[in-house]
Amino acid sequence: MFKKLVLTEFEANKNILLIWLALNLVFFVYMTTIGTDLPIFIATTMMSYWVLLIIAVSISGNEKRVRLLVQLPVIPSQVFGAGWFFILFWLSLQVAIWAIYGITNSAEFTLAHLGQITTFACGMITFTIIIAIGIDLGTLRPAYVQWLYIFFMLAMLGVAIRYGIWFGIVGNEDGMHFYPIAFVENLGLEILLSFLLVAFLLATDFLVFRFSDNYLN
Amino acid sequence: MLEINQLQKTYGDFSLGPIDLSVEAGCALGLVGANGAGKTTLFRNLMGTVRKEAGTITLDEREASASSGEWKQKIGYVGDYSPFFDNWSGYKNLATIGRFYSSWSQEKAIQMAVRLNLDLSKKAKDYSTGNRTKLAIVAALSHNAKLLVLDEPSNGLDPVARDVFMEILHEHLESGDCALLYATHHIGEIENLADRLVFLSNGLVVKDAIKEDLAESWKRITFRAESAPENIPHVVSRKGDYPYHEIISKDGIETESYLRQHHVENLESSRLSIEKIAIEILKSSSRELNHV
Repeated sequence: MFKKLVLTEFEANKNILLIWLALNLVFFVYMTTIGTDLPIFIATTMMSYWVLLIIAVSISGNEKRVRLLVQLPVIPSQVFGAGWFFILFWLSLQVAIWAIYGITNSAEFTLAHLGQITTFACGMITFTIIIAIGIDLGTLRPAYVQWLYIFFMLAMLGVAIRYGIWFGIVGNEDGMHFYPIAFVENLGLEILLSFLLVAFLLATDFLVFRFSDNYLN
Repeated sequence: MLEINQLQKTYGDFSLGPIDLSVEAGCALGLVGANGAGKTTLFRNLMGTVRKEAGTITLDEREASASSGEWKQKIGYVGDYSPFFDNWSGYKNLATIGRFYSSWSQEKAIQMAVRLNLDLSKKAKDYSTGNRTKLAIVAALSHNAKLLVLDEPSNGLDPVARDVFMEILHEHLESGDCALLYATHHIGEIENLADRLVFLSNGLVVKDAIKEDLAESWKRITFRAESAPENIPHVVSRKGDYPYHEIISKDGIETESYLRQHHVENLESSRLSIEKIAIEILKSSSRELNHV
């Protein structure tokens, strides 16, 4: 049933997937034939845009899909899992495309660059899950739980600003990093922490999802 | 076929249950209740789309489980809201839903859509409320479900579609191995369909009875008496212009017998429609709850 749910997610987003693939191909061909090195800020903008597009498309209409799918012979946790599986799979495709682009266009492209791209994508997904948790908390009772969460997240932001750590993408000649892991010197540890953070937040969102009955409220 | 034991669920101020309900194969059960009585909450628990707080639900001796949705293979469900993939045609929506059911028949689905005058080539977002309901009905009835769980399924249907829908339901139930749970607050809809009625009020089952038994026992009784007897048994409501009296009794035979013993004049009794009985049951349960 999980496979069928994932297939349904792909079908539901088929059109945008095709457009995404076509635009990636155009970008790929253009950059390969023209052979221009992109300034870091343009590359960062484009990468952020792609990732946010993938996430936005995946989440749009998600509530309706969930409400339909939970009525079928599946359980809500499978529906939850299939939705996130689809987003993560799509993001990993994007990372793979960037890696292929890097390998084919730059002799200096190293595994370290791939690691940075991966942590960058993890960072974007981290933000998304934080927002998803906030939305799911809105259906929990009592309602102030959501506001406590928002307060907590803003407090975290305040602490980050206080200590000079800004949320966002850090781009420099070494590549791109994403807070909260950008301060870690070791790239291997950075990747590990990125994955752990995503896993932890996904587990949190799952717990909120299960307790909120949000797919029907 | 279906066993619900001590089912409980709370939503803010509203509390459902504990509910005990058992439905045998071949039974067509009408679930009747006012708005907010708990019908939809009961069905959502049954479908596992909300988490029950206590109790068990068993279908064909298989417990509804949080670890697998397979037990829902045998259920055809029309909820109070019909979500679909809005950018897909009715046909594609059905094909997608169908892949989750092992005994799905796309041919049957298409035939049913034709009977209900539903254009499957249109996108779901272009469907009216009634047409979305039709699509939900087709989806619920195309996989040989052994238990139909229908929550106000005729909402938005035009009279012709409603008639065809009732016809389809009768055909589905003819085999005798299928059970029906039909929630409505319009009892007239299921007067000819249901053979058992369960009344829900404030989240609790207040009456569970065979429809024919209700029709037999509930009576409207009129009589003439200069001084009407006190404490007439089983009276639910009472009105009339002195010296003529009209009462509604939930046990007409006993009430009539009591009145005869008191030598009232012009004693007459008549059967009540199921709709009238339902209204009286819900009114009296509401009165009792307010009294408590």
